[in-house]
Amino acid sequence: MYQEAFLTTYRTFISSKELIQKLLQRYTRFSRAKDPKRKKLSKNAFSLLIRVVDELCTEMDETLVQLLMQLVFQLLCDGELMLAKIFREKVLEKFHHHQQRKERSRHVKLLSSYQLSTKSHTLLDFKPEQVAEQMTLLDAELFLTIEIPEVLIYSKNQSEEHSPHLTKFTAHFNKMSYWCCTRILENEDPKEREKYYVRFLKIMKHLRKLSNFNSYLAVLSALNSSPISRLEWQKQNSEALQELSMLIDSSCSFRAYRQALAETSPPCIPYIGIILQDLTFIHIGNPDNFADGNINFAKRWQQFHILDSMRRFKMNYNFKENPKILAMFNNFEDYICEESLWQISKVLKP
Amino acid sequence: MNGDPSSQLAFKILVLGDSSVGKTCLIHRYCDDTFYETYVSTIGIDCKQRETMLDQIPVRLRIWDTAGQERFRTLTTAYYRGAQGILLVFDITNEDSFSHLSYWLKNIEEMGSADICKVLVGNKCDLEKDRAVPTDRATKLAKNFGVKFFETSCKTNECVTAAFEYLASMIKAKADEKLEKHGSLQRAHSWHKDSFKKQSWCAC
Repeated sequence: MYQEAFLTTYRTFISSKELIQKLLQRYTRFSRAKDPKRKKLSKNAFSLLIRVVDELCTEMDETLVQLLMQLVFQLLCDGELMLAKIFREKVLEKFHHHQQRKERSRHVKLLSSYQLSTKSHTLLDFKPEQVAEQMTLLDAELFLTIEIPEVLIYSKNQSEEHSPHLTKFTAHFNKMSYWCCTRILENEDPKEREKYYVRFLKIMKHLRKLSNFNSYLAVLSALNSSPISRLEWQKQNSEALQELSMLIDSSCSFRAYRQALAETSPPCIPYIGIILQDLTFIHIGNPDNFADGNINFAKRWQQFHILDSMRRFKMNYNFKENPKILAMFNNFEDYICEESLWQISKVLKP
Repeated sequence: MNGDPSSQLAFKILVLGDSSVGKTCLIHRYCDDTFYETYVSTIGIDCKQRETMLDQIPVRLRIWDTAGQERFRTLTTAYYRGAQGILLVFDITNEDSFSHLSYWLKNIEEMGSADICKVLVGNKCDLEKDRAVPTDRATKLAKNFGVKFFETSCKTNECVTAAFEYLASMIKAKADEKLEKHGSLQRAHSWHKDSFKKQSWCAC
């Protein structure tokens, strides 16, 4: 457990490269010792090194591979042929895996542009349940790409560059929200608007069943947004929305939501905003180091607990892709910007 | 909570601005307690509070922090509900956080109530050598929008209290003005109660 906590949070005080260098040093220093106690230290360093390599994500680049290959060479020199072989395979596998992921994200983009040309359906053509499932598939794909360390780094320095998958995930949330607003407001006829409104309420109920809190909130915040909420809605529908809003009531630090999340078993897509907020508070409220220069591990322990609960939910949903619905979503690219949404809303109800 | 809460004035203040401008730090400084240190998500506290005296009347400031959630654009709007004052923060060493103020101001105009009080804060003024936003540019912007501007530092504690309490006094003045319009002292008490009722969903 402590090792897990270390592996999750070490990036807050040392870079992966530095850590690997230090472990290599430690391994080299003790590997040729005669004393069995010292020999054991080198073994420990080696096994931790393997775990570190295993958990590497975006940091895995050519220079790191070269660095790790030095160890392979050394293992060979020491006559540890089996270890050398296993270690080399692990490093290369990790490297290729990462390269493949880069390729894959390119592939996804191509696919979505193809779908644009076949677009012909509207939201109302599909069952709410199916729509919710397909939303969840898209969410899950992005959620699973988020590396735990990115989330930690983001809470510290809010760098988009170092948290690419997290940035994509939040951008997706916003796009989805604007997309929902657009689908409602683009109808001039209030009856049509109401139909979409009701449809989104139904979709939310299914999202809740799927434990997809991310999409649930994206849709909820769309229906709650001022351009939409200032318009007239049938009483039973706006009341239904109010009921659905209870889940994310911010009182008592989102108690309702936290409770719901605690009772959820994976797969689940949590609302990452709360995770980021918790991490931000922990970061601001606790020093990185103590006055004597020692690393504040109690802080890392708190961070680990929050991140570990996020890791727990990472699991695939087993739905089949529905190309028609995905094409209708078109990656939620067809939306009107916030300002225009306001203008439309004001035209509809001056 | 001290005393009878129903007789006490309470203001809801929202701290807004881009991520990493130091919003949480400012609140942390002003409220000066160890809440975050012992921060446990289940603790059930949703905003930070501080009591201050305005015109010899104790006022409780309830300060809401959207930290970490700035990216979820559409969701942060939920926080505007019932807010009486906004502390809008940018980072004087970060040009982007300054140019983004127009977005925030527009957002406030649309989401906040019409008579919401605002104060502009340029944080991190201890980092003079890294300054990217000259004071006069910020002053000019503040003037255009008719709001007061403070430069603060969480590190040195400069102007942190001043910014929050200026905002609080603005809210109080606005509330008093409303009272006067109603004209009768008799209603003063019921107003206090109303203002508390409005706030009662905040389970601090």
